[in-house]
Amino acid sequence: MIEVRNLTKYYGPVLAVDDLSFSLDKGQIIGFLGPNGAGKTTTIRILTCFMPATRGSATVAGYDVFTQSLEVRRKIGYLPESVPLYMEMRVNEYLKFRGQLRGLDRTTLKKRTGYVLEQCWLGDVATRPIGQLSKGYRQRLGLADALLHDPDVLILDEPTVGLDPTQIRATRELIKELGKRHTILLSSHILPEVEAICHRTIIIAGGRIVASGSPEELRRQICEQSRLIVEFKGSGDAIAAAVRKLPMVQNVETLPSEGAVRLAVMSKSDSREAISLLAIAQHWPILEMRQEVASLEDFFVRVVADQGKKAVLSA
Amino acid sequence: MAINHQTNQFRRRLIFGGNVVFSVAIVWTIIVLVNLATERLSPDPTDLTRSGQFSISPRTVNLLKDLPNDITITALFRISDEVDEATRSQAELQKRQIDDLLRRYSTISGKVHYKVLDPIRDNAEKTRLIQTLKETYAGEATKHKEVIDEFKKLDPKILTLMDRERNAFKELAENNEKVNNDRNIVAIYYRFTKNYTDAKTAIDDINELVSGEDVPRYSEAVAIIQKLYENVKNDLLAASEYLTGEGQKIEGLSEQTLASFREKPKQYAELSDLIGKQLMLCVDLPKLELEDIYNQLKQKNARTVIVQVDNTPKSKVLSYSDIWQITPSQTGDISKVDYHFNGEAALSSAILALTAKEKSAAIFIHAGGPDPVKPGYSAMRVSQAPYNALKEKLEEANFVVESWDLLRGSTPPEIPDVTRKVYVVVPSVPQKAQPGAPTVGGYKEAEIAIVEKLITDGNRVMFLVNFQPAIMGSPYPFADLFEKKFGVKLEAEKVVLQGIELNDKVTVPNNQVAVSRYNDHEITRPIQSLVSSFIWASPLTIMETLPEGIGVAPLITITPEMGNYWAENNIYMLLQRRHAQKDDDDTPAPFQIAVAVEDSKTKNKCVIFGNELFATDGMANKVDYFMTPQGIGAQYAFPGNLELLTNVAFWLNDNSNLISVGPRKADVVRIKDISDRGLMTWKVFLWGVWPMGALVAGAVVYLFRRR
Amino acid sequence: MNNRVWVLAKRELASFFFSPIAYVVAAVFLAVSGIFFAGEVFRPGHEAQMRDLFDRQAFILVFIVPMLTMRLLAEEFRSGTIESLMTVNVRDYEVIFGKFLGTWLFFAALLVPTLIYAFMVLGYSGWAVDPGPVVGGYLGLLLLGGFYIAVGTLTSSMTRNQVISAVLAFLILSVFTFLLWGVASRLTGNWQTILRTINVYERFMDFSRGLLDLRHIIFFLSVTAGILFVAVKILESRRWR
Repeated sequence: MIEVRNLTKYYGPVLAVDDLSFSLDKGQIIGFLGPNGAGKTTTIRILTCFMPATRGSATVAGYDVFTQSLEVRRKIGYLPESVPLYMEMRVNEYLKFRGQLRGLDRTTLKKRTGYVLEQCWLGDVATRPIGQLSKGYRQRLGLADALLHDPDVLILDEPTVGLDPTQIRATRELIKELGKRHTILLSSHILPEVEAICHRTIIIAGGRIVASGSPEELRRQICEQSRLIVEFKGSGDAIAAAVRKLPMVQNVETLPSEGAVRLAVMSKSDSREAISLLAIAQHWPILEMRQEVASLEDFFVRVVADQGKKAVLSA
Repeated sequence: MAINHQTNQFRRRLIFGGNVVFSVAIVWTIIVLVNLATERLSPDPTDLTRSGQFSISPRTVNLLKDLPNDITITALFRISDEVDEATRSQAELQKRQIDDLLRRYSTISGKVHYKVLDPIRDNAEKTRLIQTLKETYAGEATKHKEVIDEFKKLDPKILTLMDRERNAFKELAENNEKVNNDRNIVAIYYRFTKNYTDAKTAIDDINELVSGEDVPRYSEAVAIIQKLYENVKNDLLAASEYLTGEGQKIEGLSEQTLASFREKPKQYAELSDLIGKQLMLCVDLPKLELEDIYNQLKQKNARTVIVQVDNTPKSKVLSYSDIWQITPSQTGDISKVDYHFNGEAALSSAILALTAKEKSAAIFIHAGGPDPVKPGYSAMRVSQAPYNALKEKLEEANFVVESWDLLRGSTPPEIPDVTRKVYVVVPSVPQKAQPGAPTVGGYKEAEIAIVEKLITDGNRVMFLVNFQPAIMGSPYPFADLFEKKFGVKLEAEKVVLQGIELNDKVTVPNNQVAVSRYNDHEITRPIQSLVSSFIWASPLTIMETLPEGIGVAPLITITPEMGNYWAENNIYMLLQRRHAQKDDDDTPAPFQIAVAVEDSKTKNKCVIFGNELFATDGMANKVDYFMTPQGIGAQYAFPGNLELLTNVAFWLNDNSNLISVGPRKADVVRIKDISDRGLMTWKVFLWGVWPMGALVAGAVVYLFRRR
Repeated sequence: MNNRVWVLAKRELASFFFSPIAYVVAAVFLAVSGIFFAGEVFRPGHEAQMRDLFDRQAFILVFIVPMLTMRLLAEEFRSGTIESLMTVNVRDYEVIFGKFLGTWLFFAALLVPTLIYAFMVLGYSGWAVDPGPVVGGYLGLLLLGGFYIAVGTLTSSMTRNQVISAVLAFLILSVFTFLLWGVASRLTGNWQTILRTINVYERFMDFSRGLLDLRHIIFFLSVTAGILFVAVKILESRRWR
């Protein structure tokens, strides 16, 4: 559904997107992951025909975003990052306006408005002026607008920003649900979110793809980079030494703990099974064992730092 | 479909940017072309005003579309600050009228350029205008200059003579008590002294006038000279007469002195003759237009329009009274004077006169009697020609006006540079200089034959028929011709009367016919609103069977609906008893008093008016006086008469497109009196309530939208 | 009419009616018009006509219209709503023309309260006023307003700063009304003819005096269309720049 090839975008001398290529099949949900300024929004704006690329091409549903902009725009529903709305309008007026602009006929418009109001929990604010709505409501109204004409492709730039946890969860469910019938490209800077929803995730930084793949692949990649925190009842260095001897373990670090031994384990592959077997064998009760998921920040600090070096070198 | 997606941004911008520039250029070129095309092809604007205020006559439109030269029209208009409200609003209205008219002219033709300027405020503009006018009128004052130069030579002679003579008389008076007591001698002394001082200061005054101000004032200088000449000449004459006549009787004068008195006329003769010759030149000098314009420019309330043909020394000045014809209020209220706006007629006439390529002639045919268009000179006085106003009007419309006395020559007068001619046959009544003497003048068989031949030869003729009752002598000479050639029956022996019923059922005959509705014809259409008046008119009837090819169109039909009209036969009763009655031998209305004849075969044209007096100054130039806030106003009583005649001349001339419109009535609706309190209330409403209403509406919407 | 143009125009019109600024502008317009009307037209004994007022309004609108048009696109750029607008399947000309039409309709609505002046003149002159110039004047105002709004739309499409947009529109309109008018009357010959041709104020004055000239109608319509065309091209340029 979406095909991006060698997409490059300069803002003046500043490189925002650097030779980006990826593709997205029908019915897929793809997550666009990256820190602020990574080029997510720029890519999305090029895909939604809001601005042209400096080089490279992109097609949506088989239409070129540059030459067949109108067809592309008919196919997509877009939730911009900043959720721009006309503040003086009321929610239902806005949806009516957008629906008419999309060319929906009266009955379809009525049906779809009811649907999106319900799906996005906007029913109780339908007659309120947009200017008076909270950030969360506006976010949901933007989402409702993107869904209004039942588009083939949904492009959502940071769809859950500003929502409360319940809403976030529900929104994720909604997107997942929508994913069954629509092709969705969403951007986020929250890894678990992308992981929870997307079939595939693309992590970009500095305008380049630094990692991509299914959640499992990605998780594996991240797991390799993450530590296992284990707390044993007991004391002494023996425990640490024993763990260190396990074949897949690369490094063990002792963390301060009172009345227990707390270790941070770095391993080549999943070491949890081996450690628990070791603990049972040695009668070292395990008080806690958890995979320490690397925070996105940590992850990016690392990956982006690498990327940055490369970029500097290649430039 | 797929453009090269590797196209770099620079190339893309170049292509698309070029595309945009190109398409914008194309679109704007089309816009310019469309506008140029409509500028050329568009019909004349639709006039939405009820009064048809902006409807320009086809005459003007044709005139402007064929302009050979560019024309600059400068309207000088100043509204003085010191005038009262009513005058001010009147002046503003007039300024708008002239401004509107000039703009209409300039939109019709790109060759007309105009500006309206305030001669006092726009001083720089004024200076520039004066400069161009000076150039335009550079050769105008040649003769004036000659007179002034001649004066400079003559002035010392005057001084010498006056000084010598007054001293001589003074000496004489000092030595002789009788002379000292002779009033006439003393008067001569004082007159000569005055002339001496005048002549002394004259040179300086004249030099100052000629070089002092923005514009050399030759006319004023000549006026000073003329005055001085007249004084000196008269005084010399008076002195000569006295000294040779009564002066000889003064007692106690030596024979030598008396002899010297008798010598004086001879001594004075030389100077007197020189002055006389110069005086003749002075009297003949025309008024200088440049100075006239300049004086207008200096006025506090200038209202003058100057029409200049670019790059030629041609210009014409229209004064206030040319453009606005003052009209008295119907109710007699002197504070409410209206003005007919005559701007179009005046301006178009001026432009026509300045630019017309060909000239036409109007030749007045008569048989003896006084000349219809030239003033008669006699020893006693100058008598105005009877058709002088018509002549001036025709000259304004670019006709050369001549007269042709059939008794003096059977061939029409030769007029150079004239392409078309219109003949006007005016009545020549046989007259007896003294009782018993043979009758002089009048159309006899020979003259009738000449006129008939003119018509047969295809010349265009207008007949002005005079009422000729049978009791007064011969019938109208061309009546038979009308019947034979045009199928128009004229009853010149009858007079059109209107019976006016007084309250006690006494019917008074009125021999004057006022017309304000004309038959629909090319000639009369543009002047439908103008009043014309006829007196002692005779009825014309279109015969049922017309000669082959002849078509007769009525111009003015008197119908029974217009009033109790008939053509009276019994003139004797009318004249002697001031009584008339509609009888069987009278002609009842309807009948015509003006018809236009066209011959479809020969394309010849002729117009017959059953009246001649309406074309003479007595009627056509009749002025009504009335009071206005500014003083006494004057107005043509029957403005339609001359317009009608001019239009007939144009029509006969195949210049129908030049047929003029009359002045337009300024149909001004005014805002009624409002009490001060009412006015205040409205002001509060307009300045406060109404705008506040908008704010309140906004506030209501705002509050409502917040819910 | 193109449905999307109408949808956009309706939204634009509604946003005028919902915006407090528009009412302030309307109040200013009515107050200034009212001052001129009461001071120069509505005087006892004065000619009962609307022309003087119309001619003043043509001047007043040079100040008023930029205040209406400044937000048209500049505000969309500033608030970012342009993004959601332009990523819908609308053509650029539909956006420009919709916004123009909405503003023009609001402008027409702005003239409605001024009808009371016409009725005052009518009532105080014994219902004898010549309706021609009044009708012509309103027609002229609508055409002139169209031209003004097109210029305002153009300047609004060029910048995201409303103040710059308004000032630019005001400057352009001043040139086309006051400046050319003032200069033309001082010039002579062909220059005068050319300046008179492109001077909108003099063309407008023909309407207000009750002259319906096809040339003026075509001028206003074509020039308005031409300016909007440029505005479309400017908006469109965002897609390829």
